[in-house]
Amino acid sequence: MTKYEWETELKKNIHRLPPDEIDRVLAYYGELFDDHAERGKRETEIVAEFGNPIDVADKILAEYDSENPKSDDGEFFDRNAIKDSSANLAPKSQERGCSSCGETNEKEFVEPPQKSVTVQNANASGTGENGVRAERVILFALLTFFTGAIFFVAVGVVWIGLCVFSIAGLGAGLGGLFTSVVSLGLVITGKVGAGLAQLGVGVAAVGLGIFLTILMLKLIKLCARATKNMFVKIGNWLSAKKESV
Amino acid sequence: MDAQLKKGLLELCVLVSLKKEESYGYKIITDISPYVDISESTLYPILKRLEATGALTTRTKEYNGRLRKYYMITEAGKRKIKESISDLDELRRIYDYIYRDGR
Repeated sequence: MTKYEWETELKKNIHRLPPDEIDRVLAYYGELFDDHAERGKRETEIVAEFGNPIDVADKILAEYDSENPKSDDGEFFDRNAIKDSSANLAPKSQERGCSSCGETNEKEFVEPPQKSVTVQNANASGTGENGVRAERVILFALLTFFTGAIFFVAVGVVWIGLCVFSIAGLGAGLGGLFTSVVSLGLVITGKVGAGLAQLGVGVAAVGLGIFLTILMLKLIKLCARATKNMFVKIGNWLSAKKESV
Repeated sequence: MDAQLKKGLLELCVLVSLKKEESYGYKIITDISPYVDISESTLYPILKRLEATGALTTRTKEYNGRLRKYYMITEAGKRKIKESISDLDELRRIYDYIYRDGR
């Protein structure tokens, strides 16, 4: 992902925030990006470190919403109201100065903002505790159904091909070995011409077999990694896993 | 680790990293990374929160032809560190208990 793509995706997902907040967020990440770049990191490396822009946006939105609860949420209180009431009930805390006032309020805020965040997250993106995004699973199922799972069939065909050629390679190798042994027998019993010809074929078959087997082993390793990556990416997309905390 | 506990500890770590001198985003992360897992996306709300509670102030300075935001600890922030250090003694007793008798 390029810096531009990452930033665009982030902007898209926080667009509902007030413009000055959006500017602050972009300035923050822009500054960090430049600091990383100054130390020689590549663009794609840096945004990979930042993480999935959607996850980053979710974090920003969640924090913003918990600090700025919507006014029509009856159950979630107004910060100022709490500050005033706690100041009345515990005059001692005022003696110790603002920082402890802040702390008392913070402890009271610990539970409710957490709940509001969870509710809003659940409403906004349909994530459960384990983070699986329902709408993505549905989209994925529909895509698979309508494309006749052609993509996955193609992957299956590739793997079948790999297996077939691997077996062919082994077959050629073994067959060639057998032929070579038999041809040696021919030479020994006097049928030199036929024996040598057959030996040639046998050795060639062994060579082909070895070549195919080595080729298939390499290809299988490659395809295994690619297939694993593909499934991991799909899984991540479905569950919107965070790539970095 | 419990999310709230970690959040509180991270806030403290950020404040401590600002105690001697002002700092900026990248440097804060580099300074506290050896001690605690922190990423760019985790730091942002922490800085916002600390500013909202008056524990730090910010200013923008030019650096190498670009703008950089610097964070400075306030007296309130320094007080917060002092108060939390006494909490840490209790935390260490609890930690020792769990570590010793919980294994």
